[in-house]
Amino acid sequence: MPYDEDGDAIDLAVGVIVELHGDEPALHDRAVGRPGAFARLEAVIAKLRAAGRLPALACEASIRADNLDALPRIVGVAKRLGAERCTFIAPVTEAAQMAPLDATIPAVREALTRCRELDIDGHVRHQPACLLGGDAEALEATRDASDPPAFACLFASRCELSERCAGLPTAYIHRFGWEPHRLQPVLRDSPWPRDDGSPEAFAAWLALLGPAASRVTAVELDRLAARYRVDLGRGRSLVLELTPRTQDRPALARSRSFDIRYTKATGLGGPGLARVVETIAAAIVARDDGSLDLDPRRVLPPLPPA
Amino acid sequence: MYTRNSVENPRHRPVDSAAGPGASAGEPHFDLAFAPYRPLRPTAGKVRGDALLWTALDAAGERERWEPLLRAIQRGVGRGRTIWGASRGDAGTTWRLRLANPKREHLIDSLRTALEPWLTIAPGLADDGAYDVLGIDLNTAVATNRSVASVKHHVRGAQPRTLTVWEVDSAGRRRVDEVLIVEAKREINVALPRIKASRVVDFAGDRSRLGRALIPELFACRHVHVCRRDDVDALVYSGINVDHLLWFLARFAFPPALVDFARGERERLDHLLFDVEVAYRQSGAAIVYPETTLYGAL
Ligand code: SF4
Repeated sequence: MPYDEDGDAIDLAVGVIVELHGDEPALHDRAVGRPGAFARLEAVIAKLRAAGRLPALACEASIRADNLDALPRIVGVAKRLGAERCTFIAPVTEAAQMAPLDATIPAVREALTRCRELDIDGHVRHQPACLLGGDAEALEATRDASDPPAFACLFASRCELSERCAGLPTAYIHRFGWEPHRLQPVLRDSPWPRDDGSPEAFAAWLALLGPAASRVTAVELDRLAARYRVDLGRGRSLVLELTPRTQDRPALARSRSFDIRYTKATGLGGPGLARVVETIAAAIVARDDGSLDLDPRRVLPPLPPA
Repeated sequence: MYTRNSVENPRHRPVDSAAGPGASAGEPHFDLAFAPYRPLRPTAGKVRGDALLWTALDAAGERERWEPLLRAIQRGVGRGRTIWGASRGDAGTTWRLRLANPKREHLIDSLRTALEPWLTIAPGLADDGAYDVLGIDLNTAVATNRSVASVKHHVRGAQPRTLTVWEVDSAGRRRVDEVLIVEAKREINVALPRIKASRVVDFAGDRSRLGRALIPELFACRHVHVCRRDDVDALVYSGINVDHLLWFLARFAFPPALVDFARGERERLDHLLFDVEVAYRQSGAAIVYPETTLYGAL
C-alpha cells in the first residue's frame, strides 16, 4: 500500500476525488465560486470514464448552511456520476458557512440513508459522533493537531466517543455556542489514567524506542499520532509514526497499543531502510506495555491541594 | 516547529542564552492558585516567565516607574511567593500583584517596609494577617499619589477550592469577588452551572453567548477559576501552554512588542504554563470583554 506525504494510505481503489457541493449547477457553482464549474465537472468525469481512466470516483460535499436540503439529492447526482463513495464535510473555520447542529444532523443523516439506498459508501467529517445515532460509524475520526485546538467539547474528557470525535469546531462554538443541551456524551464508566504532562511523560515516549531514542531530534504528540523525527546522521532521516492500534490498517508492525509506520524517509532506501525501521519497530513492540496513550484529553493534572 | 505536546530532545537542542534572563533549574513553578507544577520541558536555556512582565512594562512605557519596586518585592518577599499580572482594560494597564501568605503572617507590614522608598500601603489599615493571598494593584493613580489606598485579601472559603476576595482599607472591607477553582474538563459539570448562574449575562436568552464567555481556544487549560464580581464575571484559564498564550495575546490585542517577544521566544517559553483571565459581561445582545489579564510568577 503506498503512502502520501503525510503518511496516509492512498487507496488506489479510489481513483479520483471530486468536490460536489450542490445537486444543480447554481448551488455547486456558488459554493466553489466559479460559474460553469458543475458543467465542467460532469464533462471531465464523462471524458475520463470514456477514456477508461476512471477506476473509481469519490465525491466530497461540504455541509453548508445553503445546501442542507440538497445533501440527499447530491447523493443522487454522485450516483449518476458513478461515485462509489460520498463524504459530507462540515466546515471547520468558515463560520459564515456553518449551520446549527439541529439543522445539519438531520440533513446529514438523511444523506447517509440515501447513500445506503443507492449503495454508496457514505462518510461524514466534523460532526459530533453522539448526535449521529446509528450513523456514528460513518464518522471519520477528526485529526486535530492544531494548537490551540480547532475543536473542543465540554464533555471530551467524560465521553467514551471522544476517541474518534474531537467535538465542535471552535469557530462553530463562537457562533452557535457549546451546545451542552444538545450533545449527548456517552459517559465513560472508568476514569482516564492520570498523567501530568511532565517531561517524564515525554521521556516515556522516548524510552519506547530503546537505543534509537538517542537518534530522535523531536517528538510530536497529538490526539491521534505520536511522531518521532529520527536523525540517522549523514543526511539520513525519517519520521516514525505511531497511531492507535487497529486490526486492519496497513502498518509496518503492531505493538500492544500502536500501529507503527514511517514516513518522510530521506537518504535511505532499500535494505538499509528496512533494517533501520525493523529494528526500531522491534524495540517498540518489545517495550510497549500498553501504558501510553495518545489522547491529550486524558492527560489531566492531579487535583490541586484543597 | 512542533505543536502541542511536543518536546525537542535536549541532546539536539542548541542553547542560546542571548535574550532575556534565564530560567534556573531549581526554581519553583506555580500557577495563579500557587499550586506548584513541574515545568513541561527541561529548563536549561529557557527564559523566566517574568521576562513577559518586563516586556509588558517596556511596551507600556512604565518599566522605569515600577521595576525598582517590583525587584524590591522579588528580593524582600522571595521568589516563589509572588504572582504578577498585567491587566488591560478601558482605564489602561493595571499591574497586579498577588503574594502568597500560607502562614498567615503580617505580610502588609513586611511589604510596607520593603516598599517604603516608593509607596505607602493602605494607610491606617491594621494588618491582622487573616488572608491567604494579598493583592495589590499598581496603576497611574497609585504612582501619582505614591500610595496604594486599598489592598485585597483573598481568603479561602469553607468549601474546597473556593475563595472570597475582599477589598480592604482602614475604613472597612467590601466583598469584590467570589471564586471557584475547578479542573477545566473533568469538572465541567461543576463549573457550568456556576458560569451560567450569572448576574451579568443572560445565557438562557441566547445559548450562543456561552461560546463567547467560555472561550473554546482556552478550554485546553488545566484549571478554570470561575469569578463573580460586582459588574462583571471572569474566567481564569490556568495552566495554558505557550501556544494558547500566543493565541490569547493576539486575540485580545496585547501590545505588539509583547506579542512579538512571546512569539520570538516561543521555544524558550515552552517549559511554562501560563494563567490568563478574561472578564466579560453582556452589553446589549453582545458579550464584551472589559478587561483581560496575563499572569505569571515573579
Ligand atoms: S459529547 Fe463531545 S466528544 Fe462526545 S461525541 Fe458528543 S461532541 Fe463528541
